[in-house]
Amino acid sequence: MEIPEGEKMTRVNNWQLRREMDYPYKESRPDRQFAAVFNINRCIGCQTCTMACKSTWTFNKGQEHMWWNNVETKPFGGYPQHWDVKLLEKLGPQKWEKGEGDSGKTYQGKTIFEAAPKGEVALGYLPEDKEWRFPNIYEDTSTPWKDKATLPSHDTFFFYLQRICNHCTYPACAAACPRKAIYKRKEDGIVLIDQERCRGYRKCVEQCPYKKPMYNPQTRISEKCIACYPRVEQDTVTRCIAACVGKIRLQGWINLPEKIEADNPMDYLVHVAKVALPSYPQFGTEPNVFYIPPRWVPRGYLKQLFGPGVENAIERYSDPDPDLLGLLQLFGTTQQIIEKFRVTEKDAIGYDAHKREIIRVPLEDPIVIRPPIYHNIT
Amino acid sequence: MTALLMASVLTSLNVNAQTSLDPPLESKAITERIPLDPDIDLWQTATPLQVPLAWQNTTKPMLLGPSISDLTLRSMNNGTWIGFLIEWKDPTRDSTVLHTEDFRDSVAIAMPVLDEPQPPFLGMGESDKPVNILHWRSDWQQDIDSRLQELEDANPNLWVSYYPFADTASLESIPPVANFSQAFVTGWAANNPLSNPFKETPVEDLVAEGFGTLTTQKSQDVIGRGTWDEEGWNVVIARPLATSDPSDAQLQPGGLKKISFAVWEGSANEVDGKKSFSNWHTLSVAGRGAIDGESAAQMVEGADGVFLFWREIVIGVVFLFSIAVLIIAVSPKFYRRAKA
Repeated sequence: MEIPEGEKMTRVNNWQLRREMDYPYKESRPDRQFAAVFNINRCIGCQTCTMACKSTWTFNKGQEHMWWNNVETKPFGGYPQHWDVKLLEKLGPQKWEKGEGDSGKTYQGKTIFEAAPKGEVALGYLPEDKEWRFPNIYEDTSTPWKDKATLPSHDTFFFYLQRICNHCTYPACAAACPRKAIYKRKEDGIVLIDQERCRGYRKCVEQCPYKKPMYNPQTRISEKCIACYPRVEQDTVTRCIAACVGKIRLQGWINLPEKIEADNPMDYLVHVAKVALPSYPQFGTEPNVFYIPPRWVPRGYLKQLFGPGVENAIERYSDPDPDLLGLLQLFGTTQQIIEKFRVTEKDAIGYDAHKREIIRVPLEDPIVIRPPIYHNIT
Repeated sequence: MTALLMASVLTSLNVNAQTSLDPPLESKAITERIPLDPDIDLWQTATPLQVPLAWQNTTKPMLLGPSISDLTLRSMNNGTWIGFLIEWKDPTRDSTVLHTEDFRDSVAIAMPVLDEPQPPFLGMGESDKPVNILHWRSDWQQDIDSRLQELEDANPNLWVSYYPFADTASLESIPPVANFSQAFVTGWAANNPLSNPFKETPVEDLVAEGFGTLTTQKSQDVIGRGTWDEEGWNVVIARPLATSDPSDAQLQPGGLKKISFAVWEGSANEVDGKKSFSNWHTLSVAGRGAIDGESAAQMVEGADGVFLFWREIVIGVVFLFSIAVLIIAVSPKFYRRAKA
């Protein structure tokens, strides 16, 4: 990334906002971009992903409070506490272009870069230690009980939000770091903090809207989710994705909407079927983790969180076509990164980068009737 | 661009731009060792220079209003070493960074590495015109004065049942970070000086060629000591006048050097570019010749411990090796084998 003259903002293209926006560096997309889709509808909040990450990367002294992967109960939970509502409040009410249909709407509000206060790169805040202390606060806490349930969404609701670093195309952490200790890798788009160059200024902690860089008081510098890059370098999915017992996660590589490969699982879910949406796209960092929104949650809340594509995503997910149905069967079935997929009448098949088949699952499991000898045995 | 930025810096100064009439910082020639203790009376014999500070608002993150308004400077040299006493008012002592919201008090000296008529850009130097930075940190000082500040100092009720890869003698207490495998203490494993639990000096020797380029030098040639009283900080920074390191600014008795200062107020969350800083001033090193017959390392009080440390280790290793050779040489086994 080149630094523009006079540290002025440049204009870059953000496909999630369907417009150009301000960013301190020139647009420089990686050769390929790490991406993942999390299906919120399937998550049971077991935190196996959280523990897989913890036991791999953040088990040491100084990292006690760090959960590079966390699962929080929305709408009240948050790690750090109220990270999203605090920033939304600072940003103030913003608007998407009005119109029928869910896709193709332009963001008319301000991003965190465009709303930056004087002397700062982006709008943000620095959470204090106490805000990081209760990573699962308000677990399973729903909104106030209403007498009657309604369809399609329930007024009384909660759901789990699975969070890792979004490895954004326009990372606010990298933009905010005054000494360029944060970099986005050209080969896979993974965003990393250079542990040798970081000097613990905490500008990344302050200005990442998703609050995924974290301060290590023992080393006096900051750390963040590394997308398990040593695994990704060997075409293996991250620990949180591999460990998911609910099979809610799928990892891959995402292209720009004008360069869609329909047999690429990420492109299909995000650009073709449009069932998977970025979280808080209005912040303007172009995050690369996408969510299939929960069907039972009031749409207004979901639109604030996932943007204007919510109605369409839920509609497609509720009545999936055969390709989508097949692709959903491939979630969590292999530790290898599925780069291409194909759905036949019987099977969904995943392929690696060399088009070698790595996984095949039936669209319908065969029915097996147990003989009476096994009845009542668990 | 540089000229524009320079103009911007100068207009941002809340004082009149310095003129050639401004008095220089006189480094007094003495024949004693440079005292590392700021409270030693000898410092009071040096002529003080009060320099006004401006807030940095050229590059982000910026300081947008007044903070620490001025520094009082004194300097002394004995022909081999030079010392600076920097004092400023600060009623809050911020010498811990154990919480996410903690920021440290600190002070830094900048000097151009090259001797050119026009000093480099005041904001961290510029490409091919490096500046040598000597950065004293209050948290490093506290680590050295007592012991390394650890997580449990800020969180006394912390209890962790198990750390893998740590030397945990007992579950009753949290082991110090030095007992952990360095490979898993990431900053330390990456040789980041901020993360190193074994600090020898509270001052870091750095070099920069513009915003965002600040880099720790391979050769650390500076020591110091800071104390805080109810009124503020008194910090001594000392180094040899001349070093063999090409990244260091070189000084000599009778010579002149451009010098600038920056200070951070931890309780106001000041860090990095969010700082108060001075214009370039002139440092005038008075010369009266070095003390004869003593090594440079002894030219400053307290330096012996740091710079003679490695020499002692080498002497120790050589001594132990000699003993081992002697033991082998006199052992009957050795002779038996030699005979066979």
